[in-house]
Amino acid sequence: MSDSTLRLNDVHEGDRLPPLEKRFELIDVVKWSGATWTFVPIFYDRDLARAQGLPDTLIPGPMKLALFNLLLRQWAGPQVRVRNVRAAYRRPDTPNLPLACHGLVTAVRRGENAGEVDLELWVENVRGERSVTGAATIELPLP
Amino acid sequence: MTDQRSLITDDVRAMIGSEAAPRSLVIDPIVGRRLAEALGEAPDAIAAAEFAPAFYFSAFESFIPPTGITGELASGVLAGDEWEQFRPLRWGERIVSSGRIADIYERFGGRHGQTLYLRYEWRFTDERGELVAVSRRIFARYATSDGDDEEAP
Repeated sequence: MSDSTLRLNDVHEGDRLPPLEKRFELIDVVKWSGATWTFVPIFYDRDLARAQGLPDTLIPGPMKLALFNLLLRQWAGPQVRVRNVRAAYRRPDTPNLPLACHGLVTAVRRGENAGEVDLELWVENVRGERSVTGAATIELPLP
Repeated sequence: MTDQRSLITDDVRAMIGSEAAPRSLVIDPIVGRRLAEALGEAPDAIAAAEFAPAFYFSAFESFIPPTGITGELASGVLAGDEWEQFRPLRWGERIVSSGRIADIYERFGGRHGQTLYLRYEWRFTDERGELVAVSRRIFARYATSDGDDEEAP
């Protein structure tokens, strides 16, 4: 991850963000559940998941939303201001499979005090399907 | 043949607007470290920063006001998530979340058959009462679950 925050003139419509790749294991999901103090059995109980016809436990939606924020942070720098972000959870994702989070710049605007950048975001599973789709607007310093 | 009976009964409709009791939250660097670790990021760098990272917001597993929906609609998944963040949050600051059921609607003939959607909204205010974030989440509830998340219409 870069240490400095991008500036508006570094960014152009059509830019593709370097993908962020993650492969969550069950223990990562358990850590997430503990940190958020949210214990939904389908996220950690393999027997229950399989009894419901699933191949494995599921990765929580908010954990996948966090990937969007991580991607923006990796690309724009640790101080990036995310004004808004949204996600539609289209398909389940399970641990131990690679996920790749992608982004595309769709608009760049100069505001009064800061630049604004709109992005399309998505998470792709190992089959190349978009399991999460979404968008964000971030704020970047003016040149 | 699809049963086209509406799931939005008077009891369900009456839930729209119902609120959860406000909850107080501290923006905790220890939680930030743990989230970073779960996500495979460097925990020390996260906790050493002045502000909580944007991904901290997505970890607010906001309390869901009880709906009392049971029986045929017992299965549900998170279908969508939206966050507006009006300013970054400092480690250690205290905020208050207030949640309500903003809307309930349904769809006929989707992948899971008839589905009921519950849209929740949470507002987060700081100690001065100023709005720092708004979250909207849509949960889909249907009669049978294959565990698949489904995008809200």
